[in-house]
Amino acid sequence: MSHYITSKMSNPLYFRVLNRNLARFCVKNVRKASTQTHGNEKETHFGFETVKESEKAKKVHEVFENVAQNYDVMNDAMSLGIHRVWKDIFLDRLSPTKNTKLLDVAGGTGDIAFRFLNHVKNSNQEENCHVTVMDINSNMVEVGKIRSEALKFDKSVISWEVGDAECLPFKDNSFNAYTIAFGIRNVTHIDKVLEEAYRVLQPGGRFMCLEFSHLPNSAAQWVYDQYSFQVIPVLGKLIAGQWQPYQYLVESIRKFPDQKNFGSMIESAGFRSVTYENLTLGVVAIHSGFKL
Amino acid sequence: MSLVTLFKSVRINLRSPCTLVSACRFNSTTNNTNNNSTEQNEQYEEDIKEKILCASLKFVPELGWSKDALSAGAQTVGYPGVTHGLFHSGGADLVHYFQVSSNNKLVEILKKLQEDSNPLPPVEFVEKACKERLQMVVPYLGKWPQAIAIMSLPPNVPNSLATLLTMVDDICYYAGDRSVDFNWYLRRIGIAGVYKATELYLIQDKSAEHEESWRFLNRRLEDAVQLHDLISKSDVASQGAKDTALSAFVTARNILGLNWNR
Repeated sequence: MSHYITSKMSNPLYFRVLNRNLARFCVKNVRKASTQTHGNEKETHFGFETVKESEKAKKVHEVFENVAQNYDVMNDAMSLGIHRVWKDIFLDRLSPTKNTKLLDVAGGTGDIAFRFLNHVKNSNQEENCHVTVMDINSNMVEVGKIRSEALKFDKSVISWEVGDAECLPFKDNSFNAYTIAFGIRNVTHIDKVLEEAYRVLQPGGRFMCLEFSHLPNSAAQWVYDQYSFQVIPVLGKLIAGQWQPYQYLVESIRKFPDQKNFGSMIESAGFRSVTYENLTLGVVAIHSGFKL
Repeated sequence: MSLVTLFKSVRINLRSPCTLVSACRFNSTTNNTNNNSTEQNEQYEEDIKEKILCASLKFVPELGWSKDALSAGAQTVGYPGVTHGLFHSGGADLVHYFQVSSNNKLVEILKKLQEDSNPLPPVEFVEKACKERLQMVVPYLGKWPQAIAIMSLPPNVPNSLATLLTMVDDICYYAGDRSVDFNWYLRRIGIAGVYKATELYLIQDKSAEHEESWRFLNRRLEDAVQLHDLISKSDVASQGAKDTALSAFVTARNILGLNWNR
């Protein structure tokens, strides 16, 4: 991939074409953002756009259908590899023990699931542990399955499902840990997802969410904003050949509630002992709650 | 005088197990829940935490003051192992719980001792109290160095100092100390020193029934009494001792974050 980019980049013509493309995309985005959707149906946000609630799921689906192949490469490029550290810390906070039945929602490519399996293996707590990976997008699940086979994980400890986080296809009290990493931002009804998480967890079960958040320091937020809006979509265009999904990514981060508000949403769903922890100044936050 | 009352109020606060929770918490934003139900909710959470901590203590001799002990404890009371995440500082929360609950047990014992028909003289009372308290550590002796190490880590120092000060304050109070001068500090710091020294002696004591430790405790208390007599008999020395005691107390106070000059 890198070879491909460098050889392309050395060509001045490529840059001219790219610039034209970028300009076109920018214009399109501005136009899109200014269109208002009206109607009787409830509206929600898709990035900075306002769309009908029924349309959001479809739009998010399209985004991830397109990026599935390049998802992991882009994560590394955009976060300079730090997303790996965030996910490691996330699993360290969960510290799974024996008999942990984990449901990893929106875990398509298996980043959290593989870390979970490695964590229990390294801490000698493998006994009776199992992870169910669920994602609404079958393309993402396919990528995960292929990776799982390449990494030679035992098929008996990991299972893959395609399903909706707002309506989980599982019985009540069937898991004791629920993780959702960089996924809850993309759902239409956050409250429904939280209620479903509460339903499938057994008493004592832990809900954990890793998600982009807001920086309490306004100077840092400014720097972060510059990076998000000026660099990330460009990276998306250069590496994955797509502007729109990454424009959506940074916009949806701005629309997601901040640490305190999201914390109270988790509490409203019935979770207790709700806490959060900021990583990298609040670029991402780990929220945690218990069903007691 | 105001120092004394403030110290007392801190002592009362530390008795409640609510201090176990140090992480940021949310105040429920749903306005329709009144204060009463929030209190009930918190009590409910605290009860569960206490149940898990209590069950975890049984696993300490085997698994140490650790997340493993907490998850084993959670499983015995019917929760999954991952519930150990309720305790953000892991082993430190478990040690703190043990210290607080042992202090509460000690108060019960001291109350009974005080109500005894022929009360012990103060020095013997203090010796008996220290011994009773150290006896509570004995079942966990193999893992006690680990507990000391955990509680010496900078983030845990305020908690461990506070539990120690609460304990010596209880001992002094029930031994009949009603002083309102600098002796108040001297006695407490003196007993804290003797207690901690004996604790260190105890963890490497191999004698039967830990007899050597109890003799060590007896000798240290004798030393303390002699020192106390010496100081109170000499005016110059007493001024110096007062200054030392005061500065030590102010330091401890600042570490605990209790600044009443605000």
